[in-house]
Amino acid sequence: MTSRATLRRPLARRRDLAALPSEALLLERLRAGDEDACAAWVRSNAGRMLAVARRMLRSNDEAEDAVQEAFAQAFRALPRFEGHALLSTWLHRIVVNACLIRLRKRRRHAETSLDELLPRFDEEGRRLDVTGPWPRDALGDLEAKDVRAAVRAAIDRLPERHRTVLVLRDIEGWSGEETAEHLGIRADAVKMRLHRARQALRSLLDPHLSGRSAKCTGASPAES
Amino acid sequence: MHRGVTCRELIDRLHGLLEGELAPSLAARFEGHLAECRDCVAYLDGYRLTVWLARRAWQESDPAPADAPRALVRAILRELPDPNDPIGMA
Repeated sequence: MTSRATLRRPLARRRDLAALPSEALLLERLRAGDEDACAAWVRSNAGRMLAVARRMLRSNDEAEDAVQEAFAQAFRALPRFEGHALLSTWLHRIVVNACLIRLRKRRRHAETSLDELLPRFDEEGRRLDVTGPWPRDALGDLEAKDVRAAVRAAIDRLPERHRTVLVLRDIEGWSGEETAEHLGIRADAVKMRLHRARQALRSLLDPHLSGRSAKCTGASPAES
Repeated sequence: MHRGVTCRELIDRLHGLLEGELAPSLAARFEGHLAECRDCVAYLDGYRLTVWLARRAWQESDPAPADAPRALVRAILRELPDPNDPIGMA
């Protein structure tokens, strides 16, 4: 068993690397334990991986722990890395998996029901909670910091199973198949969770956005 | 007239409609409903905007790659495995 003392290394001396070497060379250096290459790779990816973990875990401390675990796993798995994807893509998946493991462990409490956030309908299938269109002339404001903060807060309120799918599909840009594979669920389950997550998010944002402008277009594409 | 297509049916299948996964005849019925129902048009607009907003929610607030906390980077580098360690070698 390798002792902790053996694993301890002095921090790589700071050296500005103008750019990381090519993938093949980088991989070779990482596998060889080249301190400069390892340090550069960590520094060039840690911030972005931390952002991914924060989006999934909603806790900065947990996110940092997950990223640290993920890098440790990545370095241990380097000998088995076959190069079918970019190193950064491969690392991204390891980080997401580390987050998913933490999320599964967390799920001891009853999840927030999504039902209250989904649209409701009468017996004839008409929506009950109609609040009118979101004003198109407020679109320019949608880049504002308070809107982004409201959107992030709303995403945080989603039940974890649905938030995870929304984050992986709409924010991380994973395909339905990739998401299904990593979550261990069927592709149609991913679609359903994503749709429900989007509906719930829309409900959470409606009070914030429907009153955002005094002017309401209200026009439909075709007046009967 | 688009018989049988309720707001509920359309909203429940909205994902499929937007992804182009519905059978053409069903998609046409849903498009017909949208042509007559301003509530569903408003819902669809809000749904699309919701997806757009979610994709942009973390822009500008994410740390740049170079801004990872130094303590985290140190902790990661401190745990680098010994490259001569045969554990894990294929």
